[in-house]
Amino acid sequence: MPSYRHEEDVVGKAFSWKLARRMFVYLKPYKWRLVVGLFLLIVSNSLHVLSPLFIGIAIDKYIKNLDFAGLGWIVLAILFLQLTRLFADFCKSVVLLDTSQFIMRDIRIQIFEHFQTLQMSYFDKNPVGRLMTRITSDVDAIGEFLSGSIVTVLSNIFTTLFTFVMLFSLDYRLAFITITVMPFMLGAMTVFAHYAQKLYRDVKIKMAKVNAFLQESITGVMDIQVANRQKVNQRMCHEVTHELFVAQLRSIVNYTLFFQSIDLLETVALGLLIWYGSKLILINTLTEGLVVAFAQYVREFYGSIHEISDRFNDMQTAMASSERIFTVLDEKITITEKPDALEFPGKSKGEVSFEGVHFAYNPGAPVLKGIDFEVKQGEKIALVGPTGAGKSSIISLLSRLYDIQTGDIKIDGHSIYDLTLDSLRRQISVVLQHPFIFSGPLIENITMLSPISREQAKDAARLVGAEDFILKLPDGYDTIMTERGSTLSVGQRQLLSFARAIAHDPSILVLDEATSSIDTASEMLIQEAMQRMMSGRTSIVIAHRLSTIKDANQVLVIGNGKIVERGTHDQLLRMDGVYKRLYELQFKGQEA
Amino acid sequence: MCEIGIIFLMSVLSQLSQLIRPYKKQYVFSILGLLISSVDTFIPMLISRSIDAATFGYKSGLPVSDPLHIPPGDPNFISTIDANRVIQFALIWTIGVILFKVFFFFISRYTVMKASRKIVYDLRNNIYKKLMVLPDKFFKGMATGEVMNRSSSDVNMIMRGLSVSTVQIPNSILRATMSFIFMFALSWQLGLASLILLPLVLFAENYLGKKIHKHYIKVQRYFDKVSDRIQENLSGARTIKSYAQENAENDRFTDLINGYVETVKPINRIEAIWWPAIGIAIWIPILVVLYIGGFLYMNGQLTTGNLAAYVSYIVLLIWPMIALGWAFNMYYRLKVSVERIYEILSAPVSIKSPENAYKPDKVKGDIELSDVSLLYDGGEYSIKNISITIPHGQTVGIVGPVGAGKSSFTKLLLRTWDVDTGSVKIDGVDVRQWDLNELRGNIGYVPQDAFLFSSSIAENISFIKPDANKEEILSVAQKVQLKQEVEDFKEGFETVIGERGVTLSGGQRQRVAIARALLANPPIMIFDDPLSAVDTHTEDSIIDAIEPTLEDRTAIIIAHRVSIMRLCDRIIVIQNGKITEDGSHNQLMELGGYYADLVEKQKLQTEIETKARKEVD
Repeated sequence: MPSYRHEEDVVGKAFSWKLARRMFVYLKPYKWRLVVGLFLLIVSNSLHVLSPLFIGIAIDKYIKNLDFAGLGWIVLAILFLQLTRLFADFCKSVVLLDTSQFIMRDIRIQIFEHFQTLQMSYFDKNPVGRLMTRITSDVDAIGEFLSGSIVTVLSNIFTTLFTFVMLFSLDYRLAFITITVMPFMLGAMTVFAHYAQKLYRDVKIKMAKVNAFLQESITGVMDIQVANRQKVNQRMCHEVTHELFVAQLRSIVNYTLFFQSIDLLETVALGLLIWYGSKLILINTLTEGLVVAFAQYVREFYGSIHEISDRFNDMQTAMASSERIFTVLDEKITITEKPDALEFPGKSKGEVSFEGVHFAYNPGAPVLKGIDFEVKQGEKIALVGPTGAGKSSIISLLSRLYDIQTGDIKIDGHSIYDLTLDSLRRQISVVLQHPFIFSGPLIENITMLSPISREQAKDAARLVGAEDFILKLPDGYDTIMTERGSTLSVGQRQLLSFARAIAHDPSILVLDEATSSIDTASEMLIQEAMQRMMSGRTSIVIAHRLSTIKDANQVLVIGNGKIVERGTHDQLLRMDGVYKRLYELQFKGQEA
Repeated sequence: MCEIGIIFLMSVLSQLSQLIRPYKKQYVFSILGLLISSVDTFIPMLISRSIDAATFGYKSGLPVSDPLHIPPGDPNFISTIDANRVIQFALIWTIGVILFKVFFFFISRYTVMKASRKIVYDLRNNIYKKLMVLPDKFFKGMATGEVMNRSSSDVNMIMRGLSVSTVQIPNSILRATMSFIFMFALSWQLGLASLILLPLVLFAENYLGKKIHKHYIKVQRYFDKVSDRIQENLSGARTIKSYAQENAENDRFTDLINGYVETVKPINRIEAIWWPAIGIAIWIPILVVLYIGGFLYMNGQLTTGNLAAYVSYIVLLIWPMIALGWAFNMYYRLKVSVERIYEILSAPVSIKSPENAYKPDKVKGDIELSDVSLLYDGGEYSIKNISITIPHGQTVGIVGPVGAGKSSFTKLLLRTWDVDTGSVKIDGVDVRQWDLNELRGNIGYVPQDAFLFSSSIAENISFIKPDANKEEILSVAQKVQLKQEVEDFKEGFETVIGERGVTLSGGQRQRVAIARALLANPPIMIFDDPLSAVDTHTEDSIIDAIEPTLEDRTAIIIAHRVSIMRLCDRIIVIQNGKITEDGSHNQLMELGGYYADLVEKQKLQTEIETKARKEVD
């Protein structure tokens, strides 16, 4: 079953200073760009605010005085003014839009890098899809906020301020008349903001409920049909969608009421302005041009307030996204190096020992309960036993993909917990049962972006017998792999991962043999390749094949997190224990 | 472009019209409301009147304004008292008109938004209703995420599209038309001159819109690459860590994302030019009006009030123009969403009750499959020419390797799939003749991974029979030995399960599912691998829970673990879509085939585990 409500759907606070302060850190590197952008914004806004005044002058000074040539000049002047301001506006947008892209890039890189350091257990718990949205849509929401909302809000705040100054410096009587409705406007805004926040949240929650219900229904659709529950579920669907409908309607009422009241107040202000202006014209203490200019200022003034209110929800969305991003960034890294961690000097001999290792993925559910064994340089150890017995856990622990609870794991006598992660993992090559093939050139799947030369990579491919099929591919080593290597056969993917392992020339080879059936030809190839890979190296193999077990220096039978039997193949057969029975059941066919 | 847009709009609307039709009245009403509310385009005319009255008003018998310009005796000259009256009149009318507008606009908008949200509500429920009857085959062809996207994001897209098409477009067209009418009424010359606004705005929107669209596709593609990279990195985390490739991955991602930023830059340029372009489209007409208007004024053909009104009109016009452009852009996306949704709504319902369906009073539970084959997509057989008869009351176990066709039995009996050849009969009647609800109601089905939803345990048990009373629930819970455990929870059967509540163990979940299936007291029970989600410790408790439910019933138990086969009268082995072994436990053990081998292997596994456990103790 999918979880009922994802963290995606949790709606954050409208504004949080704590989050804003953390976001601010991302702006710092672009201080100067932001200063330039802000400067251009102010230039553009202040020039824009001059235009209505110029129109007023055009009417009063030129049109009314029948100065046609002068009118031409002032029209050109206004054109020039507007072009300059639009150019400044363009530059501002370029600077700020680019900056917001840079900031988004920085956040994305930071999240990505953080993912690289997080432990496997984090990836076990969090589905890839959910983690993806942190880097993609959540960062998008922040970018949208930075490049869209903040700029709009700032720009409108400046317009409001400049207009305000302009109104009072031109004619204080008209200015007073214009702002008489301001208190009502502020009152309306406060009420609106109060409800908008609540209603928006409500809509989001109801939407999440509908989506969760849908998700549940689609996942379990056959169960619903088989249980004859279609009618009941349809009724439930009606209920949740109706709740959403009601919430949306409330939100719409709030919005429409607010924007209509702004429209009403703006027009009343305009009406009052024209009324009072006309009166003043009549007693000859005001000119018509100024009234025309004021009429435009009224629109600018109240239009700005309208736009600021319109951006309210974006802020809420951005806050919720940043909160989710910070939750990921705050995720503790549990697999860490000691401050004085040892860099493994060169190549290890490859002596591995497990000493009383206890391990659990989740507390209270132990997977390994006291594992002890030792592998000498160049030896091969085979792990056998039923599924879920703990074999795969043993090999994961060696590369420190997970940390153990008690006991110790040593390589050449050094505890792996005293080593740097890089130098530890460089000693080991792991071949998984289902090898992961990356998209991109085939050769990169062997070198894995390590400083391995092309020749070394080819040698490795030759050694494991992968070259035959590689050369048959359209571009040989440079053939572009599709996602997960889907164009390759299972056997080819295996061979490729062998080449990858060998190219890194590890002192310890860890192998999880494939159980899936592949055709006999590839099977033979793989068997031979494995023999060649293991010669001269310490190897730990989860064995499903008799040939691997027979020449192992040691076989461990793992059951329920413990080693139940140990010895060589022959010793174990002589013991007449579970191994013998296992062998008879599982491997008899293979021998023939 | 406009015409294409309208034709296009119509084609989308015709697809939507089915949905819209029930709300025709509301739409007509709200368009009327909009028409009435566009009276506020008259306000600039009032402004013009007021300013003119003031300009031409006599003061102490002398013309104040422009004695040179207007010859004495001009009818435009009015007394101060009259001028004051006109000014007052303009104010009262302005306020009156805006109150009128706000009132009608609100009503109109409320009506239309309510209707459009209601349409979306209907749409959501229609989709849901359809999903409830679509066959399994449909869901095999469309991933859950995809179905989810269509019934959620695409529906939201339609919601936005509906609001736009029903509010923004008529509103824009009405207001623009009204404004132009008044502008022409004031002065036909200036009316013509201000028409240049149209091509300017349309050009800016069309040209830049197309450019953005083109680049946007490029950016989208690049971003897909970025997402793929992240996805691969996260999915391959294990391999990357094992080869200590974290730093290399970081470098590679940084390069990629830097490339992305470069791809976005051209879009930023175009977006940066967007508002300035609109700005030019407004200011050129304003200046043209000012210039020509000035000329007309000087010729005595225009008043300052008229000029003021003109500037107001152009500012008023700009928003409807921009909104219209956006609306057309939206329709391209809307069309895609509509089509995607109709793909669900028009998907064939291949599995449904026939007419005069078979509805028995009592079901015995005889099952008969004759020569049944089931093909999967790609033409591979899931099962092939299987014939088997299960008399009522018998308990049959089905074992076989993964993918051998075991669960096909379930699908065919419950009719979530239909056979390709042969027939499946229950009580001698082909399941395709049965009433679907009757058929499924008579089969208690316990799925592999039970569908428990986030709600109380009691509600989860009464999943099949929502009207079941407390006693019934308790009695089935007792039967599967769940009652005691649940009553130990703080809130008993009202305990909510799921992410926000208690997490049930695998064994408890399984027993809830069994209790649920049992509630309707069906004559046939099917258990689909009831031991798959539980460890060996809880196996016994599940088997004990199942045992009493088998009495007087036909039962089919599909399982990987052989321990449960001790409950079965008869065991069938399916391999590669065919029955390879059929008989009692003892018979099959004697046969020494697949089943005997399986029993041996699992015995050994238990032995290894017991041995390990002993060592720990």
